[in-house]
Amino acid sequence: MATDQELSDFLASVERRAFKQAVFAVRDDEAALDIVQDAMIKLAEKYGDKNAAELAPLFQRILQNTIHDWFRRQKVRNTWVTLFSNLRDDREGEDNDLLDTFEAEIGTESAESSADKVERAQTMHIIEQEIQRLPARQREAFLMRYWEDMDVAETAAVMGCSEGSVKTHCSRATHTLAQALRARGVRL
Amino acid sequence: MSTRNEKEINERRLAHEIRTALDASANALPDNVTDRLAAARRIALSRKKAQAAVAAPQLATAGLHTVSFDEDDSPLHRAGAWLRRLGLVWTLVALAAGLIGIYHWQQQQRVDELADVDAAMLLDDLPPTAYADQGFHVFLKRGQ
Repeated sequence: MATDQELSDFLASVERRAFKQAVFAVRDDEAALDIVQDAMIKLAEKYGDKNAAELAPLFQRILQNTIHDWFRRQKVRNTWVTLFSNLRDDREGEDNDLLDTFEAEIGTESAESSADKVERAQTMHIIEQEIQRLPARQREAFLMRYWEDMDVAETAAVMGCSEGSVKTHCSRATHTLAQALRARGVRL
Repeated sequence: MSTRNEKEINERRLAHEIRTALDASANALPDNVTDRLAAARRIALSRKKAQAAVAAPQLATAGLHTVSFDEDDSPLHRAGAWLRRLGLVWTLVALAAGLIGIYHWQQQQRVDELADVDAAMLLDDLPPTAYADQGFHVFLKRGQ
């Protein structure tokens, strides 16, 4: 059974990635924070007695289910809110806004490091945008396999599909990302 | 075969680069987000403690709800336990009264039926002793 400290350490180690995953899916920071909080509470309430080693796949499953539940609720509640949210986020996601933000920082730090920082931030932002644009299943598979370090079997169990499907999703996601990044001038 | 391996190697290399970028992005979250995440973590941990404290006695006394009520000394819970007990007693009393009532009603029905038969026999022109006579029965059969 995981102690309070172990559970706390585990949540601290996954919370940032969980938040980013939720943001990629729902494209709304506030909603993503709520989703991560719900997932954490569900994990603590229902699976707090599990061993620390079992928590990672359980948390991923809960997180994905909570994200899916959020979409279901949104669909039932009102579709126009989702539409509005997407439009707003797309507008915020334009490169110009990001560059404006970082241009303001140039004066505060040395020119060389700021230039590197801007380039890195820009690359990071483009990568995140392209990950957001992936089909949901491909994104889930890709992030679980390559960011959460889950193996194919664990990913398949969380996604409720076959291991072959996971491999296909990952392969397609990587291919799509490679093409999209190349098209936008990002070389990794 | 080698093409497939190359494809896998490229896939893993790209995934590694993307992972590095995502890690950097996750580590650069704004303070308000990290604060909210920390608060969410604290809430989750507090729920775990509350759950653990309640779960043990509930599991140990599964099916014996009255015991768990007695263990709680608050007046509200004691009143609730009394009401539950009182409700159970009243239900049993009502059930017993209903069964007794049905039994008496059926007995009365039988008595009334027998009384009707007796009255009919006594009011008939034929004397009641005729029914006990063997010859009368033979007479009735031949008549049919």
